[in-house]
Amino acid sequence: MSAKKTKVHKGIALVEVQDPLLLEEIERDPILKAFLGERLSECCIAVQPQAVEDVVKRLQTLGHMPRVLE
Amino acid sequence: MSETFTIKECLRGYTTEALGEVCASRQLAVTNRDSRIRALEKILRDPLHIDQSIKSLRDSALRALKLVDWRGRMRVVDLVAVPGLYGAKEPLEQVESLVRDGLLLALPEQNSGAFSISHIRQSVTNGVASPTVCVPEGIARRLPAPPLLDVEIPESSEPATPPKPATITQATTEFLETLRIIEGLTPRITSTGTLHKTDAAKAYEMAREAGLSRESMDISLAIALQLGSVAPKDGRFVTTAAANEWASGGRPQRMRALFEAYLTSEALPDITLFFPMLFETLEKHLQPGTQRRTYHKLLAAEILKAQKPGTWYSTAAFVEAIRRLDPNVLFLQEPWRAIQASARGPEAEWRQQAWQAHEKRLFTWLIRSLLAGMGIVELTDDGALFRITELGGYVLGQGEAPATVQDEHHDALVVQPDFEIIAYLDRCPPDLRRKLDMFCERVRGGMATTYRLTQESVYHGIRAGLDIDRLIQLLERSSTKALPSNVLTQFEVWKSKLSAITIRRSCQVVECVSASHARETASTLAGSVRLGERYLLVACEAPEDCAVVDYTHALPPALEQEEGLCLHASWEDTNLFLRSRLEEIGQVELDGPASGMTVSLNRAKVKTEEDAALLVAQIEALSKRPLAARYRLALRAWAGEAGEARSKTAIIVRFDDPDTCDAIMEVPRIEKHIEGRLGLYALVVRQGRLVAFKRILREHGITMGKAGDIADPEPPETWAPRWVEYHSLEEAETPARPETRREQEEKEAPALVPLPSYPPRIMREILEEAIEGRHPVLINYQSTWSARPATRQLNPVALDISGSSPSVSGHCQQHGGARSFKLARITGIRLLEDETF
Repeated sequence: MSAKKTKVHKGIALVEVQDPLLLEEIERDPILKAFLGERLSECCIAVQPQAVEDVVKRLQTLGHMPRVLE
Repeated sequence: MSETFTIKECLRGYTTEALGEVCASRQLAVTNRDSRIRALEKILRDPLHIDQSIKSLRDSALRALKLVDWRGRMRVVDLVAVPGLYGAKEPLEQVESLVRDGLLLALPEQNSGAFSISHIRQSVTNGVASPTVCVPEGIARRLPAPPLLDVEIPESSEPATPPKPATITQATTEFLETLRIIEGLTPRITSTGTLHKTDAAKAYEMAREAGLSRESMDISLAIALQLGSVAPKDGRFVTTAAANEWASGGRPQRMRALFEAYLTSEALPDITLFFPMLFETLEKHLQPGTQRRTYHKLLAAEILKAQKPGTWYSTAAFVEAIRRLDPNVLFLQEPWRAIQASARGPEAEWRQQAWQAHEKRLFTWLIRSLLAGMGIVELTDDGALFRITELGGYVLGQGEAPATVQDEHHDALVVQPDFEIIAYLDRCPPDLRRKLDMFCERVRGGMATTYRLTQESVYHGIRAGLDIDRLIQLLERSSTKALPSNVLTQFEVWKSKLSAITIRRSCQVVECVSASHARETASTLAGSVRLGERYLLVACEAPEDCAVVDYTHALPPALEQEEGLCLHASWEDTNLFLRSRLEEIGQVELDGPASGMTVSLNRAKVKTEEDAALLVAQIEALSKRPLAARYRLALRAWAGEAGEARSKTAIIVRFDDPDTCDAIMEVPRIEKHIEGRLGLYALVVRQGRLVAFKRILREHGITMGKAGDIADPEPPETWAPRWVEYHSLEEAETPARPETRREQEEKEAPALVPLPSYPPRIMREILEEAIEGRHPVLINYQSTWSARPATRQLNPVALDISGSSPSVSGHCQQHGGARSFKLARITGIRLLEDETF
C-alpha cells in the first residue's frame, strides 16, 4: 500500500450518463473505447481530455446529443 | 495624462532652454531650472490658470488636445500627420505652440532628459526620433467638448422623389452572413492573423453563394474582429458571445457598434480595394497603433458630423470637402506617391488624376456603400445626393437614438411540419436571423429564406451556447401560426437527449484509497461530489500531500520492469487510462482497490511478428526505463521469430587482455581455426584445430597455459558497455552535438496541440487509413533530442512494423522533408480527414 492516501487527477474529462446501460453501450463502441479510461461510478467514466471533440463527434454519429460543460 | 508619468517627471525631461521657453510663454520670470519646474508644475495644476489658457485656445488647438487626450498619448509625427481631425492649416506650429504653453507635455521616454522644443520640428522634417506627448490630467479634465470641424458642404435642393428608408440594412445582412460563414467554417488563421489560404477560398465561395462580395466579407470580418464578435481560438476564427449580444441590441445601438468598430479597426480592406497597386507601400506608412492608420475613415466621419441631419448634400461635394481639409489624407502630396505611380506630366495634373482614380472613388464608395448600407445616410436613386438620417445622427454621436419599431415580428416565420422554416428576411430582426443561422441548416437564401431544423443543426446551436427553450419561445413568438405538434414533440426528444449524456471537460477528481476515506475527505472538501465509492469530483483546491496526475500534458511512463516477464506500476504512477492500456499487453493483476497493478506478458496476445513489434512499442511507450532485451526476446520468440537454441562442446581460449584477443583476430586466415569471439577476452577454437591454433599463438610469442578458469572476472553488465563502446567508436562520431541539437530543436519546437493518444495498435489503424486515403496526420512526437513533445504535421507514406521498433515514414511539414517516427514515441495523433496530400 502506498504512503500517500489520495491521488488527484487534474484536468481529466468525464462522461456522465443518466442511465448506466447507456454507459455500457458507450464502452462497447470500438471507437469510443480507445478514448475511455476507468469507470469511476456506474454512471461516470474517465475520458481523455484531448479526445473530447472526437468523443462528441462519435456520440453524435451514434445519434446522441452530449452536453459539453467547460 | 499619461498614467506612468507625473507633470514633474515630464518637465524633468526638458532641457533648461525648453523649460525657459514654456516659462516665457507663461510669463514666469524664473531662471533656476528647479524653480522653473516647480513654477510650471504649480501653474499646470491650477484650475484658474488652466481655464484661462483653454479660453484663449483656437478651435483647432482644442480639437488637437481632445484628440491626444482621447488616445492617451501620441507621437508628434502621428499628431502632425492627421491635421484634418483638428482642422489645423499649420499642424506643426499648432503642436509647437501647445507644447510651448505646457498644454501638451513631452513624455520623458526617449529624450534622455533632453527634450527641446526644436525636437518637434526636427522629428517631423528630419525624421529624428519623435517625442511622445500627452495632455496633463488636470487640463484634460477641464477641456470642454470641442466644436465640430469648420467644414461646409453646400446644401443641395430636395430631390423629386426621396427614397424610402430600408428596414433591414445591407450592413446587418453582410455582418450576419459573415458570422454565419465563420461559424460554419471556423477557418484556420495564419501566424500573421489572416485567414488561411485554403479556408479563405472556401469562405469567399460561401460568401459568393450568399450574395456577398469578397470585399464586403473582408470589411465585415474586420468589423467583427474589432467588435469581438469573432476571435481567434486554437488557431481558428470562431464567433463569440459578443455576436449574440450585438444581434440582440436595438437597431441604433447595433449600427453605432458597427460604425465605431469600422472606424477604429486597423484592418485596411478599404485601402486594399481602392489602392491595389499601392497597398504595400501605403501600409508601410500606415503603421499599426497610429492615428494615421485610421485617419481616412475618421476624417470622413468628422466631416459628416459637422453636417446637418436631414439636409441633402452632393456626394461629390462631400469628397471635395475631404480634399479641401487635407489633400494629403492618403499621402497624395508625398513625392513617393508620384514615384510609385511613375507619374508623368505636370504635378497638379497628375495629382488631380490620382485623386480621381483612387481617393475620390474610395470616399464615394464610403458614402454610397458603407454608410448607406449602415443606414447612416440616405441616397437618391442615382447616388448623387445624400442626407444624414436620424439614425445616422445618433451613430455619428450628434443626436438621440431614434425611436424604432419593436425589433420583433409576429409574422416573420412559417414553421412547417416537415421541419422547414420559411423566414421573411424583411420582417426578421437580426437576433432571430442569427439564432436561425445557428440552429438551422440554410436550404435556400433570398428574401424568403428556407431553413431546416435537424438534430445536427439544433445540436450545433446548443454547442454555440444557445438555449433550446429560448429558441422554441422565439419561434413561437415569431411564427405566423402555432408550431406544429410534431415539431414540438421532436424538440422534447432533443431536450431529453441533451440531458442523457454530459461531458465535463476539465475536472479535478480526487481518488481515495477506500470508501471510508472518500467519505472523510468529502467532508473536508467543500462542494465535492462523490463519484462511486472512492472518487470525488472537486471544485476547490485538492488536499495537500497527495499524488498528482496531470492529464493536460502527456502522461509520464508508469511501468517498472520486474523479474520474469512482468511489469509493475505503483499506485502513485497509475492513471485512469493505464489499466485499459495494460490489458492490451497482457494479463493485469490489481494489488488492491487503491494499489499498483502488475501486467504479465501474455503469449496469447502475440500471433504474428507484427503483433510482437506493436506490443514492444506499446510497452516501450509505458516503461520508465529502456526495455530489457528479455521482453523483446520473449515476444519475438512467441511470434516464431527467434530460432531454436543449439548446444555444442567447444574449446575456449581466454587471453589476459582484450588487445591480445583483438590482435589474434587480425591474424591472416585465423578464421580457419576459430569459430568466433566470446566477449572481450575469449575466442572459441574450431574442433580439431587446437594444435594449429597453439602454433599460431607460439609464432606470435604467446604460450598457452594449462586449462583453467576462463570466466570473465566481472559480470557481463560491467564489461559489456566497454565492449559496445570499444566497437562503436565510429558510430559515436555523430554529426551534431546532442546538446546543440536539443537546444536548437527546443527553440524551434512548435506549440503542442492537444491530441488524443492511442495504443500503437489503433495508431497503426489510423496511420493505415491515412496512408490509404492520403490524409495528413497531426502527431505529438517525443523526439530523443527534445525534452518535451512537439506537434508535427505528417503526410504518412509508409508504415514499418516488421522491425523491433515500429515506425511511420512520411513528409514532415515542420522539417520540410522526409522523416521517420517511432510509434512508441508518438504521444498523440489525429487524422485530418478533411485534407489530402
